[in-house]
Amino acid sequence: MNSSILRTMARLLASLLLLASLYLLWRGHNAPGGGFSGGIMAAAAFVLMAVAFEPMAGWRATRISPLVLIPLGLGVALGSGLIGIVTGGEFLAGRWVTVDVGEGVKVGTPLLFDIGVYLVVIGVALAVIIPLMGEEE
Amino acid sequence: MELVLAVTVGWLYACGLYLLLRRTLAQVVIGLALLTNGTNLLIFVAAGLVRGEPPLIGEGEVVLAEGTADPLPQALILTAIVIGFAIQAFAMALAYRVYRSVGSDDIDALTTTEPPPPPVVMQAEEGEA
Amino acid sequence: MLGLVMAMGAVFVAVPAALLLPGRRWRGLLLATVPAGVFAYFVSLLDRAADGQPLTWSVEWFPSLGVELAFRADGLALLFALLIAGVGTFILVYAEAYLGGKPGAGRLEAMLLAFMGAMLGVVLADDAVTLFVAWELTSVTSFLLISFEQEKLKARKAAVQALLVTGAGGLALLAGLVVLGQAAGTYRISEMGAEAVAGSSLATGALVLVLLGAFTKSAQVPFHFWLPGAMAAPTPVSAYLHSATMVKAGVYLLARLHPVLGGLEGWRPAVVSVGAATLVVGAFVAVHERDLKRLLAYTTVGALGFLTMLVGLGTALAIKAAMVFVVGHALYKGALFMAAGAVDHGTGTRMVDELGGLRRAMPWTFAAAAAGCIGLAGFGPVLAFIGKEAALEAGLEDGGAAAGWALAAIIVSGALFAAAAVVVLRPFFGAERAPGHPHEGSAGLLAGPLVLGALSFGLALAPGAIEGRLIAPAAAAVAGEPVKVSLKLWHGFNTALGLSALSVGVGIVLGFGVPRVTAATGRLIGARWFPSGPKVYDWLYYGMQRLARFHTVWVQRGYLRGYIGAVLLTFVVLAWAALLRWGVSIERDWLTPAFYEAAVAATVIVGATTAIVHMSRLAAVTALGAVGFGVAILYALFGAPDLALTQIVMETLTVMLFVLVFYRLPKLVERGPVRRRLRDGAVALAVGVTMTVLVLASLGHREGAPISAYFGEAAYAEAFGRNVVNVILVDFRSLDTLGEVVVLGTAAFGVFALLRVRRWSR
Repeated sequence: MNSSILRTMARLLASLLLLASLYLLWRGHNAPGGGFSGGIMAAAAFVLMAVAFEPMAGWRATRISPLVLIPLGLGVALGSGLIGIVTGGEFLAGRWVTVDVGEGVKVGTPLLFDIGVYLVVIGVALAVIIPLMGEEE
Repeated sequence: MELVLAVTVGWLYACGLYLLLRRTLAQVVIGLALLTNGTNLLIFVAAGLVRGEPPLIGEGEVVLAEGTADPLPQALILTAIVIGFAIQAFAMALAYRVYRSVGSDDIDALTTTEPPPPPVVMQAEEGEA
Repeated sequence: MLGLVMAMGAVFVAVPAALLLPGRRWRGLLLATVPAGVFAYFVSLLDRAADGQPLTWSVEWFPSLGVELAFRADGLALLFALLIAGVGTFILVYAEAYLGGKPGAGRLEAMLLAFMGAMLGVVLADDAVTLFVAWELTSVTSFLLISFEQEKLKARKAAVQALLVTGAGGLALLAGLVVLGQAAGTYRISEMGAEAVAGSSLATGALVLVLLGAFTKSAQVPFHFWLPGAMAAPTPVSAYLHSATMVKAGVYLLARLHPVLGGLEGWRPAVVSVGAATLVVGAFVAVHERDLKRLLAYTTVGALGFLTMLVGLGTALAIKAAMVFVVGHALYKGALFMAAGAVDHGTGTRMVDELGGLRRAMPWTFAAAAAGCIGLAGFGPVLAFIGKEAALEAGLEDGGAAAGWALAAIIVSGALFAAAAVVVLRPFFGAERAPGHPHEGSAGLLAGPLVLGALSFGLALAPGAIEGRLIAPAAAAVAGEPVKVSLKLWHGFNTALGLSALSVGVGIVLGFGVPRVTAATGRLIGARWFPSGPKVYDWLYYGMQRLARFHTVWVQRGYLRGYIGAVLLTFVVLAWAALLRWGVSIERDWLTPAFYEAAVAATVIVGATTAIVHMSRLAAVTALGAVGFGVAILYALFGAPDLALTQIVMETLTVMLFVLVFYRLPKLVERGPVRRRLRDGAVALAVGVTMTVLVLASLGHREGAPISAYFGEAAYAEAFGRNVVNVILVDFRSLDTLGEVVVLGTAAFGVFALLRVRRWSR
């Protein structure tokens, strides 16, 4: 697959997929989507890079190593839960702030939690697939 | 439709388990994949089928409308799908590793790596009346 | 109030001290001050117990189960506690002298102290569960003490044997105590009512289980064999655990529960017959032994049978006799064991046939042994004699069938014990004979046996010192009512004395002819076919191992398909049993399948079929993809866009993974005969049909309102989300989701580790 057309297309497609995955993550609370499907879609974007170039390219494209993304995501999810405790409630209790954009958007800890899930799913999918791609005979 | 999907679930189970009983590593892994799909579908069907009404609260409404699909099994299945993926990946990595280490994809070739238990040694009894 | 706990605590605190102190001669003396102080403390409690106001202490343990950590120092508890602390004091001094600076001495003393604390716990406990915990602690410490010389196979084997026998009994006891607690409505032993227990349907079960525990611990026939085996322990241990204290725990338990269980119908026949059998068997085997310690062990078995029998009889006189004999036996048997140890120490052997004329070289040991033997023979101015006379009187007075058997057993065993006493004394007379140069033991070795031997006489000559303060409260606690106790050494010439004199006289004559007289009977009990305890034990022990091996070879065959097949068949059988038992109602209010819906389902079915039929890797992966995408479309059709979305992306990655891995694995081949494929197919099909039926059945069984209604109402109102599935995942059930992501992460690291790819982890 040493084609420059494929590479260019792959770069474009991967960017689009990544954007779409972020959109899925954002709208997940109100429409189909969320951390799981968004994360998987983002992982697909990086795998596409790995297929088009070489496995390492997909691995590097995340900037942060997938092996770091997993604990990072877990940390974000845990942190969103701790906010509930710090503000005097229970672990993982939802906390919300209204952001004045347009008709007002509510942003809360569940979104933060979903971001954590998103990061973990990306990390897991990449940590599982890319090493298998790179395994030599 | 319930009957059709129930038969589908049963058939996925039958095929998955048949493969799980094979001696070839790759077949076992395929069986696992079929079982994962079968189980997810099982939860989905057993919860009751609703055509085309996703559990989304419509604009301007506050509660979920009557007649929409049950959201809870969907939440369960959603995580099950992702975890099923991780399990399949793990199984494949394991199968690959085993094949590389043992040099065979025959599961029966693995039994010899566990030595049989040592025989029970009868000790001489001490004369105690 | 706290004194009881502090007394036991002091003993446990001394355990590390024994390990840390250097091995000097004064260590034994220093450590002995702990039990000596505890002894003095218990003496100070005697008056309260005699006044019927025993000291108690308790604290909640498992309040929801009604279990407490409770202790109570009544007459019975104090009698045993005084024996434990008193004999223990001398044992510690003796142990230091016996092991004389050997490296393990501190360890032995530490374990002796730990055992002492546990044993005090047993006799002072007033809560059934507290008692059981202490009881098991004595089993464990006993195991450690018997296996003290752990480099010897014999010691290890004997320790395991003792642990298995008393441990099995301990399990029975636990069950028995729980049943008893349920029947009585309380776990406080002092509050258990005989009427409540007798009126309960659980009474017989409780009795049998408790008796099993007591009989195994007190080495009653047929569980007696572990006690002679336990003689592999060093002599201080034998003298302490296996004569004076631990083996009496079973007798203590019987005495303690006598007020609760003694009135049950089965009590008297069961306890008296087992006790009498043990008494005779122990005494009979004892005269055949040539090893001093094993001989003493069998006489101990007999003495335990004697005590059990007396508690079984349960009359006031019998109980009084038992309480006196408990003390008398501890004194003379402790003296004898320690004297036997001194002989072993001074000559290098314990075999009576290799020894002779020791009284000149070891005069003090001889004195202690002689004092002990008078107790063993049970004839003379010793405390054990008073106990035995009282027992005979109890048997004569009672007149029942059980008492008749008991009387016969006492007379027969009396003769055998006298014969055994002659055998024990033999090494001290005749021409001087020993493997080494016999020499007298040190003061530490002699103090214990001499003091105990002297006490055996002293208390018999001045029984007033103990009758009112010690024996009477103890007997009252066992009888459950006040018992008048007046002890006298000399009762004048009466039937009891005559019977006693007769049996002892015969026994002494017998004793002088021992090797010849016992030759024939010795051959009998040594015969191959004779079902002796150790043989039965070995048969069970090795039989168990053979069974395990058989089981492992035939059931754990090491084939994955075997295990899976067993699980699946069990599932099918259980599922159908439940379905047929409760009936299957399949509601037929189904949606009519649209053409495209049926087509998607068919795709999934065809895909799965392809996966099992085609032996090509490409076909398999394609088929898997068809199944996965088909399922995704089904999700989309039936109101689950989230699932469809996730499944599609996931399926893409999965197919990719399969291609990557299968490309590296060898080609698919079908292994095994067709017959096996058909068999596996049948099993798999059975499960598939079962699953189909289960799905349809579960659709027809709707009980209770689904909890999803709440999620539908609260999703937007409280969690500000319109996608209910997502709100459940990240808000309502986010803790579950958190757990699942952790699983995901773990699996990923597992894959990574399996592939051992270092160059990726930068």
